[in-house]
Amino acid sequence: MQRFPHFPLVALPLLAAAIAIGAPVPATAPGSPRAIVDQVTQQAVAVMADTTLKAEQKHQKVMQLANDNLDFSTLAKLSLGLYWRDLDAAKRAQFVPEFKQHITNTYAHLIDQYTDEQVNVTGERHEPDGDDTVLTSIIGDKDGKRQEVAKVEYRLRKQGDAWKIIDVTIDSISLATNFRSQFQEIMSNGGIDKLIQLLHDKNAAASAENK
Amino acid sequence: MRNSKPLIALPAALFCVSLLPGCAVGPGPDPWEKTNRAFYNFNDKLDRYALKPVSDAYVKVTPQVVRTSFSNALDNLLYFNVILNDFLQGKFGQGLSDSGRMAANSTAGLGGLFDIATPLNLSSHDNDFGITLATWGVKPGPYMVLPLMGPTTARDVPGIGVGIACNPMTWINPPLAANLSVGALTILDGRSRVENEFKFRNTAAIDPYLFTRDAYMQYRDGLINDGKPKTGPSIYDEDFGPATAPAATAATAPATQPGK
Repeated sequence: MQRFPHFPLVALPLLAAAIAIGAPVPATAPGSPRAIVDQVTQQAVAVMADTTLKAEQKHQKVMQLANDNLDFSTLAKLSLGLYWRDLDAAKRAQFVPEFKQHITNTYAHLIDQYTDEQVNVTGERHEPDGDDTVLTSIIGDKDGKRQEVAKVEYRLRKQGDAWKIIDVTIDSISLATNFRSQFQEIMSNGGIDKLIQLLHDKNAAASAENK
Repeated sequence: MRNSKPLIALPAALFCVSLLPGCAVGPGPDPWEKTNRAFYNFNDKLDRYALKPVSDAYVKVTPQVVRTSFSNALDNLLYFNVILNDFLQGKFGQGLSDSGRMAANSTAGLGGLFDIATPLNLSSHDNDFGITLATWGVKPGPYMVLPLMGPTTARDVPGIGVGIACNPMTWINPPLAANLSVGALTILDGRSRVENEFKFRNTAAIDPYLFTRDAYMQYRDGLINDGKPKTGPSIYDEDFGPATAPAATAATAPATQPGK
């Protein structure tokens, strides 16, 4: 007690604050990009680690999380780039669901690959354009040790009054940028019909594989 | 000096010619796409029918702890390349830490079989001569896919030679059998460690060649920038126009065309 003579003075306001809120003080404000990424990744890990769930149930639960927090339409725009502006409503209505289905299949694959990885939020970056990037570290078993296996960044954009994930970057590889370089070349060689056809074929092959 | 020039230029010229069997040079970052795609398909077939089956068998019959030790030893064997390039880039702190890492693992780690350095806060780094050239201001040049070796860029090609020159196996001139064994183990180890990445590519890629090309370029950029975010114009700043789509054109929606 001699070393901390002011302990009660410091502790009392803190205690009062904790009681007033009625819960442990959260590290980040609710609804902030950091809180959203932390929540979504922890919930996804909990689903994937739940041994009582079947693969199909895990897919559904994780996709529900993705649907609530990922802005597929912006991801589709970022992936198509300026080609998006020239697409008429009918083509957009064809493209976006095929694209979304493809992302869904990719998620399902990652869910099936899950072993015992954990996700830690490690930082945050405020982008000059108002977006917010949340940095996370995936901890898993690599070379016989528990260590970082990947760095994953989530870029969020405020849509209305909610933050939505618009891109995911895994070890410096941005998915939107990667899709864009694929789509640019496919679009310039075969146009949107070719791209929709390729996405459709890929989705058909994935659904045949799951049966 | 006048005599030394052809000695350097000749192998370089031969090498370039061997890469370009009559291919047309197109614009953009991938002027040799046609040749690259041919080599990509060759590598992909080789992987599917030879490397992957052997690598899967290797993973199946070899316990994880043994594979980890092999991975550690091979990483350690090639680590002089990392140290050299740390110093070439002026990263003296990292160079010293990496020297300590290699010294610790080569001795107390029994020739690199055990990674005792990571728990001592001497963590491993990725570095090579291609990254050094980038920090010196060299542009990536054309993207290339080399047979057997896979994706690279003109800037990263000299790093293959520097990597070989930094490999102690090159210095000690061991018997052929030892060289072949280490070579075979390097291939098995390397292939088994990218299995998850290959699976992800197979699921995520619409065009695997383009997926791999972009992933390689972005990943290398990440290593060059040390994970720092890129500056300058980005894909996130584009204006996608009004929320409503433009009216259907005649080609895509003939039904809306009157008088036909």
